[in-house]
Amino acid sequence: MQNKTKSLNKEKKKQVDFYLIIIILILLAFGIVMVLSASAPSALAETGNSYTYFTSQLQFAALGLAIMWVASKIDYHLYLKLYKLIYVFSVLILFLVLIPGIGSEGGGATRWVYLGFVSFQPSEITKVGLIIGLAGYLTEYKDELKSFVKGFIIPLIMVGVPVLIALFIQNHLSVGIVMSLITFVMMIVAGCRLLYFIASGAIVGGIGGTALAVYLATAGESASESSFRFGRILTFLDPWQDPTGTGWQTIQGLYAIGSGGLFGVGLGESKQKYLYVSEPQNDFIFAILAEELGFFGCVVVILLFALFIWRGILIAMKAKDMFGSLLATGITALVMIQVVLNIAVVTNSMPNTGISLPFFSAGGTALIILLGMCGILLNISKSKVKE
Amino acid sequence: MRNKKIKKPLKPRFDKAEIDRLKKSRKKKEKEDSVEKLKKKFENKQNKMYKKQIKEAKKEKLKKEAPNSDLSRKRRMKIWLIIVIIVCILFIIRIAWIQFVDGDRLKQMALEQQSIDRAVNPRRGTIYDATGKNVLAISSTVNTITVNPNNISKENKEKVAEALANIFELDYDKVLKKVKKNSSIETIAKRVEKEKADELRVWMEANNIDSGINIDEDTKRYYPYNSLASQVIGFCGSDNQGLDGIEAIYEEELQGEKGKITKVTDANGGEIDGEGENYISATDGNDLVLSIDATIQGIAEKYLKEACIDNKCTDGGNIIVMNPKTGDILAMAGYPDYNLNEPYETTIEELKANWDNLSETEQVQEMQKVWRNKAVADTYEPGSTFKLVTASAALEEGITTTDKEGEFCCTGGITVAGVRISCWRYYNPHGSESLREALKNSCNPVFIGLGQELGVSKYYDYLEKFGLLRKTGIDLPGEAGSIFLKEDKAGPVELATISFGQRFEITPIQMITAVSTIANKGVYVKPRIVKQIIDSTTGEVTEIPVEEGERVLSEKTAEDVLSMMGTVVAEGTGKNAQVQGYSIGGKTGTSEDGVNTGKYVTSFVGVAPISDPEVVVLITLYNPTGEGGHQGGGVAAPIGSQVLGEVLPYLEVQKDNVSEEEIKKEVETPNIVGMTVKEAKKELEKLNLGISYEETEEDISEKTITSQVPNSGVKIYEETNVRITY
Repeated sequence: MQNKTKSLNKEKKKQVDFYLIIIILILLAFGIVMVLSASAPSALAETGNSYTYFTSQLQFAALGLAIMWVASKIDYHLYLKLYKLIYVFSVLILFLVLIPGIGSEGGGATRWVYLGFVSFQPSEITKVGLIIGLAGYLTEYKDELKSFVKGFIIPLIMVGVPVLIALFIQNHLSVGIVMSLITFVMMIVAGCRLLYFIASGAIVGGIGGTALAVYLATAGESASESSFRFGRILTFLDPWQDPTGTGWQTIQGLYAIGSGGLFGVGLGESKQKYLYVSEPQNDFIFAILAEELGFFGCVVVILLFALFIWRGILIAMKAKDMFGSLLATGITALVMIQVVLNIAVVTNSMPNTGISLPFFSAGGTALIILLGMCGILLNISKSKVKE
Repeated sequence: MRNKKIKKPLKPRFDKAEIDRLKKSRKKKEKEDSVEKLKKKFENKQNKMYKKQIKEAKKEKLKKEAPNSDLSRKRRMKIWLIIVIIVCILFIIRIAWIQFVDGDRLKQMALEQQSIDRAVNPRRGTIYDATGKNVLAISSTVNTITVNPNNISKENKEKVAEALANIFELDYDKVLKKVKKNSSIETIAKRVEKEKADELRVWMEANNIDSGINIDEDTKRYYPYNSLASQVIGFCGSDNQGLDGIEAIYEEELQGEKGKITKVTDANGGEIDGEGENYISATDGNDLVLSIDATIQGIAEKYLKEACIDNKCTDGGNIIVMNPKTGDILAMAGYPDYNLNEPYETTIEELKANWDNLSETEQVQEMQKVWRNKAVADTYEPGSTFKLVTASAALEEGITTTDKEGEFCCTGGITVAGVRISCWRYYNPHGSESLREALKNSCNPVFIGLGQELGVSKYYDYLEKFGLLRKTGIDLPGEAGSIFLKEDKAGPVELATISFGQRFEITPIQMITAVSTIANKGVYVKPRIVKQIIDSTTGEVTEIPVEEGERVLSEKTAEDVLSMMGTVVAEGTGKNAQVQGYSIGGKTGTSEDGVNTGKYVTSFVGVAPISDPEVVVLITLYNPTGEGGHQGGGVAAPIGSQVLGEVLPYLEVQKDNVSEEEIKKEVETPNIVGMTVKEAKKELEKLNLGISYEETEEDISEKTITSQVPNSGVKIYEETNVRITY
């Protein structure tokens, strides 16, 4: 059947990027196995069943694959037509967490929406909306991107609105960082002036630095509201300052990685996942991976992600038109940025921000949306320009 | 792009190249024109306004300024790809750093937090007395009960707490608090007897609870002789660590090495499935064999206690018995003492009554007094016993001889550097005397004179040689050093007082070690308490070597001094120390305890037998206030006689002083109960024993004897009477 379809399609369209499919499937399978291993103790402690996270991750993966298949069939030009609508919808969805009854508290900030049978983070959807919105906008005004207003201020507003909403009503810094960085990558690739970024970066940096200095000077009197975030930043420099408080997670992550050695303690043999690393199936799953599979496992995973990004960039480069190219860039950038930030946090190379690792961290909405975006990426890959 | 397509097929045709080029350019122009036309048409069709056209033009302008071509976009993407590769490499380096550079350290720290260790306590070494048969301290197995609160299910917590409280007689609320505590391990009871632990095991089985409660073996210290040698042996704390005496100073030998049970747990201390317990067994502590002989120690303690009570020694006393040849301390008794099994409970009658009313601090203060081994830890002014040191030095230096009649003359006192120092018998001066007589009389001026002749430097040399300027280094804790004026600060008056034993302080152990040097024919021997260490695993016996020091006196001098000491006991102030059958040497001493305190320290140092000393004994009594006074001869010397009288036969020391009249055989008292008095008399006569009874007028020779004192079998000397009743 498939061969037939393939040969039929050959005439009209380029073939879908099979390398990417294989990389996605390997990453997904690897991720699910790691969720099974890492989540077992905490699942047992929380629900009494070691397989709770694993089963739901498996279900979400199945659903995600289906959505990926569907997405790969939808011509991505559809999104170009609807990009404004998609963008506005994805920003408005952030306000869902404010609605009583479905919004919920978690981790010191309201980020989740509960819809009876399913709960999800609206900010995951916002990321997709932003990527599509930006790709659409940048394509539409591709010839005016060197101008200050159209090539800098408007995209900045486009990302600034959801970032500020996420920050102020959800106290969600990490998603803001991810969205900002995606925007930066997409804008640079689209051809916006780097000079604007450098100049405004210098100005914002100056103001921010002053604000931080003022904050630090007055923090002694009323440090409670933002201590949640600020503690994380200070902890990064020396997690052993507060080993049972803000430094706990970082230290436990380092213990896990450090225990790994060359080939790790063996799949399923992690000790740190036994409630030492909190929620080992989430942001710190890479630490458990490092403990169980060692340096070797880490290198394999990093290589898989590098391959994914390579294929993504290749698709972006070969895309038929600018929208496809920018969309592919945005999706690849999303994965790239999350991977980089996650591994940087887990290896204590930057402050703890709470960013999940694509394909690995347990989490339904994130996985489904990620696979959906992979579907879009695959669809773009079919539109390659003939060489 | 379209140009390329056309170009390719035309390439090989060289002859037509010129035409082709022309054709090409024409075609191109035509095509471009047509495209432009089409575009315009299209735009018109769309009804675009002029505005839009202007906009288009603007766009075109921007495009020319900085072309946003596909090519430049691809270049920027390639840059991103390179950045990603660099970041990946950096991460790999970072991970390698964590795993290979910091790895060992982090792994170790992780392991520490992941595992709960329960100690497996080693059995503490046994302490034997010199015979190797009497056990002075031994550890028996007891149990330590711990719980892992996180492994006890919520519904069981109260049940468990109740059972634990019942079995170990603990407060229920306190136990419940521990059981409910959010911690990985809590100690419930220590030093629990085996029966109680078994009771708990039975309960656990009956209630089907197999996790969360641990019963681990531990040891408990037991001292079979209670207070015997308490200040020497010392006691242990609740964790079996030695706190005092031998227990403290030989802690490393006795304690052994802890083993452990390691269990990997989760962060809450909960069990991880499939993670068993890792057991590392403990290494038991080594056994010690002391130089202390329980029998001699018992003898010394018995007479010390008697003497302290009889003479009302308010500050107690001590007796040291030492073997001069080996430095072995055969006994070191202190009074008052305490029960090693109850080191925090007084044994002093006066305190007992009010004990519970004392605060804990006061109780400990009281106990500290009796824990203190004064023979080693406290200094005193030796007084006249120290004249032995002066005499030894003077003889060794050839300044004097023992028996030169009229060598000295006591006038009741002597003036040194303008200060008059009296003899104790200033009221009736000793007059003309030899050194032997001077020692016998304990005449102060003679020894002051000898000290002067020796001079400060020589005298301090001897102090040094006798080990009086340093600690003996005996293996007991808290040894005090002596208090002497510095050599360069000692003037003639100070030298004079030192010469007869005053105005400086030494410890009893230093004093007896100095006299032991004389008894050991002039060679210093370091005192010791532990003779052997027996390895617990191999059974190997390590002998603690006898540490001989330098020769202080020639053999001749030592013998001369011993002979004079003999005279002291035979005829002088030490008369009360005589023991029948043995030649005893000794010297008494009395000194003030501090300056103008009205308190005295009375002492007697004895050596026996003089011909070949086997035992040196030093008796020190602090502040005797009884009717017997505080003179060494009257108070301390008799204890010397009592102690030596028992110790010498016990050590089977050959009698060396058996004069004709004293050859009295010991005989066993026969059983004469049931005999008539007449028969008994005959029987006793055979054994050269007498008979005594209450005289009456009637003839009793045919009466039957109903009881006798002493009883049959008791050893008595010949010519002793056996008292009978009929």
